[in-house]
Amino acid sequence: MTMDETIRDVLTEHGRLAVDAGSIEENTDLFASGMTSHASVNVMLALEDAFDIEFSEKMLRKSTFESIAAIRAGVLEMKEA
Amino acid sequence: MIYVSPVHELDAGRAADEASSGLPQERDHARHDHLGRERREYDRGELHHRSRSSSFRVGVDLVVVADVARSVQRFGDRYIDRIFTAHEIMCCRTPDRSQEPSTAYFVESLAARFAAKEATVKVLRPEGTRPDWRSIEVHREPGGWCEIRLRGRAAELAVEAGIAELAVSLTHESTMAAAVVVGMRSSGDRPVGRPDTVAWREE
Repeated sequence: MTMDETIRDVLTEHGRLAVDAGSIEENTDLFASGMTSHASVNVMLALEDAFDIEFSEKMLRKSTFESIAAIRAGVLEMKEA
Repeated sequence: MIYVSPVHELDAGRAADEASSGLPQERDHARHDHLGRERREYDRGELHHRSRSSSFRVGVDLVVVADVARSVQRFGDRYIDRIFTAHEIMCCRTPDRSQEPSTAYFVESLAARFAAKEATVKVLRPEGTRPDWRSIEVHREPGGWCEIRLRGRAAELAVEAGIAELAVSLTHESTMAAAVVVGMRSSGDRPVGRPDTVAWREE
């Protein structure tokens, strides 16, 4: 499974999106697509489980989780840290 | 009847108009409240605010209790410890009034506190990195009411915004929890962002 597929799976399970996480564009705004602040916490924790990482405090910004592309960049940054 | 602080004054232009028109110039009467602070009483509904530097920020948030219950079930202590302080967890586990400790009360209380944290973030308006959830604490006072205590990045944001005081109100039922936070920004004649009122430091 690719990183993007894993991210989409996490979003499907935890993102509470009003749209299909499997088919949205990678730059689609997830918050505008229905993801609440609380759902973003679950997404963060599920991503940490899926990629065996822990998001640092400096990554706790809305922009980190605002799109699939942003999440991918954040995960890669944490894996390289 | 509306009471406003002295920083909200009658529109000077309107007062001049009244003077030239022969209409009553004084529609307000200086008063002092129980703390000796000057207040003005306006005797008509129309009120022209001209706020100089004092203002308020308001944040509100609504949380679905079932969402928090699912998070607790799915992620357990990792979720709880990542979001809530030890004091908050203790308060949610031990109701201060007649309620018996229960899982339902615990989850509802967590949901209300999450709402309070998000409402506080809306008041602080971070640009870029948002404060750690645990740097915003809902602190239950011995009397039963709650206050917001800040530390770290959250406290810095409050100081930067000139927020001298925060007030919070929480509510929760079986399905929904909500919180409202009001931040009072300091006027120019008062200390800005007094750390002793908005921030606390880890010992």
